[in-house]
Amino acid sequence: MWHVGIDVGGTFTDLFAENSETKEKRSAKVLTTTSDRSLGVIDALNSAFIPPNEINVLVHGTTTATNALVERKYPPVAMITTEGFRDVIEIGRQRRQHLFALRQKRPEPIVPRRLRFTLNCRLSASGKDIREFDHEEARQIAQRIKDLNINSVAICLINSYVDDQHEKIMREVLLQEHPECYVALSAETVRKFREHGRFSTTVVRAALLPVMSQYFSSLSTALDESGFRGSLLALKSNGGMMGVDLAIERPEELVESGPAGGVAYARYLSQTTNFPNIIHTDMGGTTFDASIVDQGEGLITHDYELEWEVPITIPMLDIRSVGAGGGSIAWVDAGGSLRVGPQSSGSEPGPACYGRGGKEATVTDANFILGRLNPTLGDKMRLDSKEALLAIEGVAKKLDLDPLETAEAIISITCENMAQAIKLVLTDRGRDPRDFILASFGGAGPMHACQIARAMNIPRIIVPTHAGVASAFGATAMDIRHDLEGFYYSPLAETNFDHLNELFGKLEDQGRQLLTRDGVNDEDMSLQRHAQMRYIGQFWEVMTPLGGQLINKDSINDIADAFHMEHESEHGVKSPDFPVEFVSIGITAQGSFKKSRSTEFSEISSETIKVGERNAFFSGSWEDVPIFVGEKVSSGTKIEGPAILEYKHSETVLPPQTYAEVDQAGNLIITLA
Amino acid sequence: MMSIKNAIKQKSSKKPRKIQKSNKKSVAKKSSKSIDPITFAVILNRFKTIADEMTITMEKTAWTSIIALARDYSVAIYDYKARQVCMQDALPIHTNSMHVVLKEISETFKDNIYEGDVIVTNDPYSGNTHVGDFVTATPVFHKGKHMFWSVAKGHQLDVGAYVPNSVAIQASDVWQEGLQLPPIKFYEKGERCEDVVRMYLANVRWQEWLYGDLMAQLGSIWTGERRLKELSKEYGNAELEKYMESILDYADRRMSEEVKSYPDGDYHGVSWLDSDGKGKSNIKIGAKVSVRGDKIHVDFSNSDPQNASGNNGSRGVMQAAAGIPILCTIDSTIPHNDGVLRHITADAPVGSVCNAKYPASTAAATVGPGDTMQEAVWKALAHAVPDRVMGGNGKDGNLPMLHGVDRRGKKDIDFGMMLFNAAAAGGASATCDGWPYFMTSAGMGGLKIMSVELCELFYPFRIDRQEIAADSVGHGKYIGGPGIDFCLSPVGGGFQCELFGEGQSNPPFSVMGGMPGIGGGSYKENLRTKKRKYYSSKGRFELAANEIWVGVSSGGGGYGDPLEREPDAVLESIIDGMLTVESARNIYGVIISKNPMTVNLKETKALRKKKRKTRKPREITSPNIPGAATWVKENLRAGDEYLLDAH
Repeated sequence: MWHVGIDVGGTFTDLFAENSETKEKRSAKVLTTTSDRSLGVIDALNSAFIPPNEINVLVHGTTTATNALVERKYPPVAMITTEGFRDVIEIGRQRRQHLFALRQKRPEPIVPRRLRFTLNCRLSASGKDIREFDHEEARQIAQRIKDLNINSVAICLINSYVDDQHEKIMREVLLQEHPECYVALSAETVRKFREHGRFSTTVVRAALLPVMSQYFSSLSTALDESGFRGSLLALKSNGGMMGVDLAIERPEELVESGPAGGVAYARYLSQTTNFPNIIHTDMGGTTFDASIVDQGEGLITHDYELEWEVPITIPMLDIRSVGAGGGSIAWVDAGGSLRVGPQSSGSEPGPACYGRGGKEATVTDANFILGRLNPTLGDKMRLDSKEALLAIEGVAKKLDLDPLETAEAIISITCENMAQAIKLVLTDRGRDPRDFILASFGGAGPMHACQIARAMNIPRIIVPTHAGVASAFGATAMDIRHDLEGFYYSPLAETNFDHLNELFGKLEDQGRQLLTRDGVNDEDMSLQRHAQMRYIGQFWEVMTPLGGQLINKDSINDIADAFHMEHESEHGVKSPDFPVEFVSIGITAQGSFKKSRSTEFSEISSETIKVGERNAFFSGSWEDVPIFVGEKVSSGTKIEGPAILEYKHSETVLPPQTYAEVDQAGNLIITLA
Repeated sequence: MMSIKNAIKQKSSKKPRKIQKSNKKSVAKKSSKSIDPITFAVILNRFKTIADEMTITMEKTAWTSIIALARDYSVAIYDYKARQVCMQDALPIHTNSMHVVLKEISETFKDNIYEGDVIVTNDPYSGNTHVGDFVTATPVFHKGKHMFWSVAKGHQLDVGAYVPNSVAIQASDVWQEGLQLPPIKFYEKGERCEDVVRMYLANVRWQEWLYGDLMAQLGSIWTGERRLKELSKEYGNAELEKYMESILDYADRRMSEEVKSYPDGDYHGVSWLDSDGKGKSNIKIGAKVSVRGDKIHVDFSNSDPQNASGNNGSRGVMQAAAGIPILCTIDSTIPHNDGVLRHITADAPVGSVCNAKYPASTAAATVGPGDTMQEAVWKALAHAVPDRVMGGNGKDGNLPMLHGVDRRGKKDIDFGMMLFNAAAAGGASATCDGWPYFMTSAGMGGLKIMSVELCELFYPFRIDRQEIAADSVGHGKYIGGPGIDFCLSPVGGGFQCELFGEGQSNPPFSVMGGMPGIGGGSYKENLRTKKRKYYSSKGRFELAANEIWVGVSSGGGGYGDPLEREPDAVLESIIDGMLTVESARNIYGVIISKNPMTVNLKETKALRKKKRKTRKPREITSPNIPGAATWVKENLRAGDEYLLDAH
């Protein structure tokens, strides 16, 4: 039987599969079918010749949710909120993105003002009824929503994180009047304070409910018809996965579904190699993603924003993106300085060397004229050297440089941009680059990895075997994971232990139920407690792990110590004399999943299969560079740069003064001299 | 692959050379100083990342909402000559004037500046903005040479003024506005001057929080110091200085092109402060913007004499306020360093409201006076570069400082906080509607408001309403951002409110034929008697347990003629409850047919044509008279009181 991971991206749908009996591995890359993305899944299976009836697990990552939100393509959504707070999702927390740029448009709110209704009832911060729920008012709103033929509603009331009774009654009333309606409650979507984040996340859920339900139903139908009878799971933004039944109910957890697969691969590497701390990087055509895997776990953020001022405050992997990719365009600004990106040639027309009408010089063109890129992109197309050169010369003339120097400069500047993005993630999360190895994924990533690492002073790089289909591979290496949150606000010194344990107990019960629904057995479940804590008087919390056991007065010092340590690791400072408090609590419920992964020992052989040579330009001179087939280089092989390793879906460039060794699992470990 | 190589060899007349960072005779022939474009881009980028890192340190570790949430702070990197090398996209009023205070610091200590020093000051007569802004600067040395200054400025929640407010607008002189710190050392050669720090803390309220903020600020400049040292080590002092110079020249070149695109000439703009804070209304600020080639000079001579209150400009603020609008009209990707700033000079007579004379108080300099100077400059620019300006921004009316005792818990706790949630909006530009919550031109929308739920959890009050004030905007082809309709109730007992704002009797102006914002205002209402007391933009009052405070803030100024707004956009506003059908007809000349609501294009066209013929010509800026706001007049009922500058 096959264990399959499929990632449906913006341009390509990637597949990775492993056979649990024969240990055979297969991968595929097909074009994404944007009209109906589920078709791409079937295409990918066909292209890898995997019979659907021989699949027992299919894990699936998709950008469908993200696209629907970004393009605002979802059926109309209504919002019911508290009187006086109709505009929370529109006015936001403010803060313009660029202070000195006057011509900035505000992002469209997910729900327009006309569809935001208000209820007069109001709870105080201590959970007291200041104004009671008015059933007649609620009924009228429900009726109105039904009359408008709106079938998806977000109910978002102020202070509902303390008590969700009003939201629940509103849902009852709504479903009585309008039984076919999708409903999302803010207290169920993300039970924590700060209304803007909670409301925004809830309207996102409401907008996605019909979209993802339709998507998964058409995917299930297509798979059913093909003979698939295995379990279908979805990749979540938190780096775990969940069953499709739950994904339909919690679609906001799918927003970073694709990139999460890559991080899962990095996490897998950190658990199967000697490198527990990994910087995960992924360079595609237009964007560069970076995130951190620390001691085997991807770092989580609660501050994700889909767009400026559109936060989704559920726990998600902390993945940062900058506009740098193979398609990034090089240009010379008014002051005569060479710049690269963030504009990109996209897939249409694409880089000049694609010969599809692109005239501007891109990073890919620069790589190509330097001889670093396979001229047929692994038999996908024949690149056009004349167009590439013309484009680069355009930039070169403005700089009064030679085209080769210009091409090297373009690549250096791109690598420098990417390095700075990584640096910012590390700084923001208080991590030291010297403690990490850089893992490079994506079609364009391993081509630049050495230069990025050099700019960051990171001495070592790992290029995994399946870097070109990273998310799909990562999908097959995941566990089931649910992050649940609750509200508990109290100074640590005044903790009511019974109450706190009871709250944790409730979250844990809920976590076990969700895992059970995903088909996880009791003995495979593990639950971890954590709390959002801060120094009393501070405004930002730090997530502090609390372990798994009951909390009593003997645990107070341990909890305080754990907090001081986390604060220091996130922000570089701690103040052990200051009192500490809880702001909210949460649990992570994980279900380990049967993975068919063999330990991937391949044969050790000292023979290195060189398949050819190419002239490539490095630091001012042409060199004859040996070419290897990446998949065929066996464990233990040592390669000295300059060299190029061509894989089926990506390419690794080893510049001069680099040394690479293939480890037992086939990963390339590169050391910079 | 030989084909590509050969193709390139044939095409390229030059022989490829080695590119090395240390190779001085290299590549960019445009520059006589042999600047390698890669190294240039790398170093330019590094400075930005260092400033970003300093910002993150500051924001994430600060203790007061004013820094952690409202982001009322800035960081920047200067060279040893106090020239700005890199600024973060933080508070413009800070970052465009920090070189002024840094020059004073350098001159004060001259040769007594050592590695490990931290010099602080809040003194507006030493080039600082106002007493509430606390400057911390540390010199960065490498191999014994003073290379840079790593600087952060943060607005303190308290400065020990006669009232618990770091913007004591009604202060009579510098001794009332708070503790004055001329440039002094908090650290010398790495050792903390414990006695000095103790003396500072003894003079401020909420000491633990302020100490926390001080630590955050020091953490930030030390981060900068560490990174700048690494950079100096990586490139060597001489090489780094060379590139830094070329970065300034680069910005200079781009700025020069920008200013040359302005038509030469003298342009005038006038604006008004609502009051001095002590009962004197409508204080004039006039700007003359003179463009000559690639230089701009802003002259504020046409302004009233200084006020007998804290509502005066300081030299630092005057310099920054003159420059900010100009920086908004240039390509926003030009790095804002000394190369840009050197194109803009500003002047105002000492003793005028724009540049007060010691010992006059300048407690509110950054906001009211600074914003109003900016307004005068914007209005002047509307005559010079009409397609690059924006409608007026709301000012800091309705941003009360609240303080008192929180009686909700087991024990009573003193509390103090500045509430930004009822802030006014920003103006429209030539292609976009304005943003809500702009707050002040001093911040250009760089500040963040606090969550309602967080406020209600942490502080003894409830927010009953925080919603778009539909009728607050300045209409136009593009409309100003909406103001906020806000209502506050005390919980567990009353507390004090201090209003220190501006821009309510003189509303955000409009440009190019648009309409101004409403100005807005506030009142407190007794829930039993229903009587209201209206306050001008400044005032001190107690909000008792049975009272509510209501603030309606101004929308931003409009850009362009409302008759040119897309009729569909007008219809959308009506459907969203932002505009009435009558206003659509009267202001926008748009006729709406009902059931279903659609634009009647034919009648709209006819009405617009008729309106164009019959109305008065549209003004380039409006209003051009003082006290033009209408909100208070329209809302005051019989029996209500109006208090000007209550204290």
